Amino acid sequence: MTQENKKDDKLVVVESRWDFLKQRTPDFLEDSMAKVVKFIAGLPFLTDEQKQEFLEKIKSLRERKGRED
Amino acid sequence: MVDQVAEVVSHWVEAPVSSEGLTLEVLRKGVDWLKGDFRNRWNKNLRSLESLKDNRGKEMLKICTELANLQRDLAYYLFLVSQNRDFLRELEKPVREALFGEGRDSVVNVLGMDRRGFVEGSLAGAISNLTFWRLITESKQDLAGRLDFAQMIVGGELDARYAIDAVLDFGTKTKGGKKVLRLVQLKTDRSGQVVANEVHPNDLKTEYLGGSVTKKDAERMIEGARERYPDYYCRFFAVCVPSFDSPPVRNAFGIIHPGYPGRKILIDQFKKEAERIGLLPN
Repeated sequence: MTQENKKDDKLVVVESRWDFLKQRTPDFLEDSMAKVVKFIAGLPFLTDEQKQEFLEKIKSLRERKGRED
Repeated sequence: MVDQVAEVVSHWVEAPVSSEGLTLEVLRKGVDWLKGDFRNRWNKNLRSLESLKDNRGKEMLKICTELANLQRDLAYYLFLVSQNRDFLRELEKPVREALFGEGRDSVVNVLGMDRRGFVEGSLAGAISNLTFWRLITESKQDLAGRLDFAQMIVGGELDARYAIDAVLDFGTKTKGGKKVLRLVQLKTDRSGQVVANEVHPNDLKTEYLGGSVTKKDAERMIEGARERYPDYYCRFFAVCVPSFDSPPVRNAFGIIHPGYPGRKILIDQFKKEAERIGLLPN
């Protein structure tokens, strides 16, 4: 933790943080597979088996749509 | 006739699967998780905690850490469901029943029907994260994209040992170039009040939020920041938000009810107070 002089506590916005889409769940069929895998892997309510099943299903549906990663 | 059947079958086989439909299928699994694994672990940890009551040692920290992690997982799940109206429409009732249903198999009745109030209180912390997030993003909508909910709720030891419930990273820096984090200890209020205090590390008060956060709690937050975020410029806050069962909310997702008559006043009051003390960047 850093203590700074009060007058330095002026906030400067870092523009690169503006990303209005990041709160949304990914589009399983359109977003990159890496993003989808990361999202599914981070879901605390799925078992490892369920994660694997969903990922296989998503991959299969993407292939049918001709989606390339 | 054969042609008609073939057409129907073909239509069925080719029926498009939408991404939203898939997401709903994934989120639906969360209801089973609430009724099963989540409920069992919540039960086990609450019972273990009660049996330790006066023990402040490592065992208690271990149990509290696991409960804090479960709270974080619950909050994240409720957040995902509540981000989309269609998901909410489908899952609101099953989630509510799994958590707060009258039956013996709901989470709130996990210690017995007569202990419902105690378990409700233990769940309130998880849901308060969602109400807090909504207060922030509804009072300043441009902040919605800057705040990653999954990163905001910390859980684990940071919560259990240091009483830090939320870490706000708006992606801002001081003029000196240091990244700014806002560390928050959250409390809930059943009457639906919003109160926010800044905690100044060099000028600690005896208590905050009318006594619900003590000087010792505030010192724990500061200690946690020194340990975990040594390279950041940290600011500290104690914030009280309406509980899930208070008049402005009354739902399991921490949503400030659109029909609540004092909704605008509540959000405006939060905004004014949060900007005044620097909880939200200007």
